[in-house]
Amino acid sequence: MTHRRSPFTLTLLILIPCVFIYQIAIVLIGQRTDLAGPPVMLTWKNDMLQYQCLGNEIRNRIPEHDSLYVGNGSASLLAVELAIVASPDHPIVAQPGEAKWKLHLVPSSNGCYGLSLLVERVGSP
Amino acid sequence: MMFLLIVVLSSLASIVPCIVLYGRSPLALVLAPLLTALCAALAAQMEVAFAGGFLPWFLGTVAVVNAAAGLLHFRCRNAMAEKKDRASWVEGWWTILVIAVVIIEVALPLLELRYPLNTVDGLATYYLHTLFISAGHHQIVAALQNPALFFMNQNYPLLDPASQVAAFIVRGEPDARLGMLVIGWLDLCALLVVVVGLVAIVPEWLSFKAKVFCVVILSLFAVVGIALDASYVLSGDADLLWSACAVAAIVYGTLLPRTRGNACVAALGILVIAVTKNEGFVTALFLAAVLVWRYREELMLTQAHRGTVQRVCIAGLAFLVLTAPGLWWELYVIKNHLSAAFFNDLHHSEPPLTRIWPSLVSIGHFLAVGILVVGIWLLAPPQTRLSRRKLGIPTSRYLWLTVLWYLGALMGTYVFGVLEIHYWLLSSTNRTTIFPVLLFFVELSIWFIVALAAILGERQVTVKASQRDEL
Repeated sequence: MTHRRSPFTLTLLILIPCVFIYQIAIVLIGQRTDLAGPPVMLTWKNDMLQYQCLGNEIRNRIPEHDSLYVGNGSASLLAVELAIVASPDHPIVAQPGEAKWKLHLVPSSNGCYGLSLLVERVGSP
Repeated sequence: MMFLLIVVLSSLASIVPCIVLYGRSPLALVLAPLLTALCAALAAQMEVAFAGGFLPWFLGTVAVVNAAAGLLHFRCRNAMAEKKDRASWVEGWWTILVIAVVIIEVALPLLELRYPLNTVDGLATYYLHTLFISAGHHQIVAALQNPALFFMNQNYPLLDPASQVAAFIVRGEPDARLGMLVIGWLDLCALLVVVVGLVAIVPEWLSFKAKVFCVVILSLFAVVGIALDASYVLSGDADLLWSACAVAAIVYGTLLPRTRGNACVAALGILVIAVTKNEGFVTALFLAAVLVWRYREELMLTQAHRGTVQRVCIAGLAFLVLTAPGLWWELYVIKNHLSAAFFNDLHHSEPPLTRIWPSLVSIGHFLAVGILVVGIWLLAPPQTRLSRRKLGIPTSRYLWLTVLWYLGALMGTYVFGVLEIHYWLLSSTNRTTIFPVLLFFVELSIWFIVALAAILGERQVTVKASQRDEL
C-alpha cells in the first residue's frame, strides 16, 4: 500500500462528504421540526392578548391581513410598520376579519430593541 | 415573475464590467448581481451623504461603472488581451454545470426554509432602512439620527437595504417579501462564486467522471451555507451574504493562482463585505491587506528601483481603493454619531470579565467542525501534505489568519459590548459564526480534493504501469 491509498487518505475521502451532509442535515432537520411546531402561542393577561416568544407567525390566528406578522417579542414587520405611522401614545386599531384588535407598542422587557407588541381584543370575533 | 425580472435586470446592469474584468465566462452572470448590489450601496451612501433620492444616484453609479469598464476595454484592449491568462479549467460549460448542480442542490433546502418574516435584523433593521432610503435624503438622514429609532441599528452599512430598494424601484412599491427574496438571490450568487472557485482547485488531469463527482460534492458547500443561515436565508439578513463574499475573497485571492480575473473577484468580494455589515468591514480591512501583499509583484512593489516611500504609497493606495466604500460609511457613522446599539450607553450590562466565558462557550458551540479541521491538519502525514503541494494548492495560512482576526474581533465585540450578554449570544452567535464555519468547510473541501487526487493519481499510475507490463 502506498501513501496515496493510505488509511488517512481514504478516511478523508469518505469522512469529508459525510461531514458536509451531517452539517446540512442537523440544521435542516432542526428547522423542519421548528416549522412543524405550534404556530403561535397567545395568552390572555388582564384582557390583553400577549404574543409569546416562539419565533413563529401569528398569521393563522389573525388571517387576511398581510401586515400582521409578529416578530419574536421585540420587533416585527407589524411593529416596524406601526413605528412609522404611530407611536406608543397613539395606538392603531386594526380590523382583521371580524374581530377588532388594538395594537400597542410598548418598551421591550429585554431592553434591547425598544419595542414589544401587545394585541388587545376590543371586539368580539 | 417580478422576482425573475429583477434577477435578470440585476445581472444585465453590471454584466459588461464583469465581462471586462473577469472575462467571457458564465461566472460573470453571478458576479454581476453582486456588483449591482455594490452600486446600490454606493448610491444609498451618496443619497445619505449629499442629497436627492436613491434612483438618480443608483442609475448614475451603474452608468459610471459601465462607462469605466467600456473605457478600460477600449483603451487597454491590447494590453489586456496579451495578459489574458487561463485561470483554470472551469470555464464555459463546466461553469454552467457547477451553477446548475448548485441550484438543484439548494432547491430543496430553500423550499423547506421558507419562513415567516419575523427576524429582528431583517425587519427592524433592513426593511426599515429600505423604507427610509426610498423616501429620500431627508427621511433617511432624519431616521438615522433619530434616537427613538436606535433599535434599527442606525450604523449598519447599506448594501442590504439598498439592494432591496433597487428591486422596489422595479416593482413600483416596497415589498418586504420581494426584498428578502432579492437578498436570498445575492446569497446564492455569492455561494455560487465560492463553489466555482473551489471546483477550480480540482486538478485538470482528473477524468471527466471524477470532475463531475467533485462538482457534486463541492456544490454541497452552497447547501452548507444555506443550512448555516437556516431561517435567515429568506429573511433579508445580511450575514450569509457578507460571509460568502468574504469566503469568495479568500478563495480567489489567496488559494487560486494569481490572475487578473481572480484578483478582480477577490476585490469585488472585499468591496461588497465592507459595505454589507460592520463585522464585514473589519474583515475587509484584513483581507485588503492580504490581497495587496499577495499581489505585490503585480503592483510592482517588489521592484528594486522603487523606494520605500513609493512602495508604501502604492500599497496604501491599493488598500484604500479596496476599503474606500466601507471607510466612507464608517467615517460618516463616526462623524454623525450614529447609534451603535451594541456599544451605546443606554444599557447597563455585566463587566467585561464576566462576559468572556459565556462568549467563548457560545461561539465555540458553533465552531465544533473546526476541531475536525485542526485534527486533520495536525494528523496529516507528510506525504499527504506533499500531495497537496504537488497539486499547486497554497497553504491555508491566510485562511487561518483571517479566522483568528475575525474571531478576535468578534470576541472583542461581545466582551466590550453593552447588551445583556446571554440574550445577545442567544440571538446572534448562530449568524456571526457563519463566516469561520464556512472557512472550515473550505479547508475540508481542499483536503477532499487532495485525497481524491492522491487516490486517483495512484490509480492512473497503476493503470499505466499495468498497460506497460502487458506490452
